[in-house]
Amino acid sequence: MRSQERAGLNISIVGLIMLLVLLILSGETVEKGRSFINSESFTFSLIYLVPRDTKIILEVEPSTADLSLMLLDEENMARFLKGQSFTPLAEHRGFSGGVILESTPGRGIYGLYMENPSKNAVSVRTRIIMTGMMMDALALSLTLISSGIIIILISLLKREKSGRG
Amino acid sequence: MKFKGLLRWELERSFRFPILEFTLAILLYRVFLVMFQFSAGVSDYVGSLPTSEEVPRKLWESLIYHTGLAMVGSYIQMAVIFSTLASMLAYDFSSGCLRLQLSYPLSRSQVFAAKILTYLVATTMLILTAYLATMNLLGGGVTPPELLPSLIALIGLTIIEASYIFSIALSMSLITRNTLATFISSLLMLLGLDSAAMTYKEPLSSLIPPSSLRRAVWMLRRGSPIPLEGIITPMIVSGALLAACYLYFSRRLEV
Repeated sequence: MRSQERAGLNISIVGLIMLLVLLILSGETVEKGRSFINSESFTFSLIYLVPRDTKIILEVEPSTADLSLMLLDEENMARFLKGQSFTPLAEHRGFSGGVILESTPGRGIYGLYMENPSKNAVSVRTRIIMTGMMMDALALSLTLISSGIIIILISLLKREKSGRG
Repeated sequence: MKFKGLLRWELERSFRFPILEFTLAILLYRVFLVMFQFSAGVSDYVGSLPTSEEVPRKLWESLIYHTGLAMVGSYIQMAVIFSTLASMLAYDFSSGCLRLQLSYPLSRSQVFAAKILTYLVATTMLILTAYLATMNLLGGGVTPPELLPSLIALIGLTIIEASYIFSIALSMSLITRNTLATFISSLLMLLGLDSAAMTYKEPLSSLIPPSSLRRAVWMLRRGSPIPLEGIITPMIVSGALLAACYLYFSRRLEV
């Protein structure tokens, strides 16, 4: 096997293994968390999200308590933390019981800000449910597989040409 | 033939088709499976906000320790890879390749060094490259310079684990001198040691990799002092075994 063909084969193997892992991981993934927010206080959670169909489910206990929340992407989070004007990805004010945030985010870090304006402490149960494949990794794996195949084909064509010549 | 030529020949021979492909497949399966599971909770702040500079640092810290745990947690994959490579050394005895290598105008120390550089150094570099490249891919950039000391410490722990595994596999290849026997015996020995540490817990789990090194990663993450016995023991074991293998190879070995 020529070195060019071998390089192509190895690139394809990297892509194929990545695709295999993505298929294995494409089932539902649930990340659970719980946070307690004191009266007239807030919590700020940093979460890393990947480009999959994502549902963030928040359940407040006691269910009668009112909360406000914002989900911020990296750029708006930096603006928020610097005290500049910002636009949240999602915002809910005065919600009680539970809330669902649905999005297909880009890969990166996000900020979840939750504020409890009431006089009682509350508990928030967070569930992040992700389904489907990571689209960026899927694109990368398919690119690697096709690049590997192209390198192998070019090498084989060159060999055939030089054989005829 | 010069040492450089021998090294090149050894590299080409050791990673010939399909050995490199087999190594890549085993390694990358583990790397992607663990690294792509990095998601969700990074850090929580109660009643306070992080600074905007703190956010990317927190993400990278989390990513680096996730990678560190994954690297030292790749014990079984490393055991399979190094057992395969050690069994190739054993194959050199039966195929007469070692006799040919020793007939070259090179010292036995140089032949041994070429094998160590090929099997241990090149493979460990392959393992580290796979993990670090995936980590930087997930982080969307390169590791921030202020976190490099933590990353270097975790790379060091992975190198210690790789040396420990390789030294045991190499010893087995010199004892058995048979391809299949080397592969099976070194794999059984490595898995047996891990299983013993899991079964008998203390003091074995604090001395034997991967549990001892996993504990060291946790301590680093917390900023607590690292338990030195968990690092020194595998270093002593691998140093003693490699020295014994070198002495045997350079002075006693008859082919």
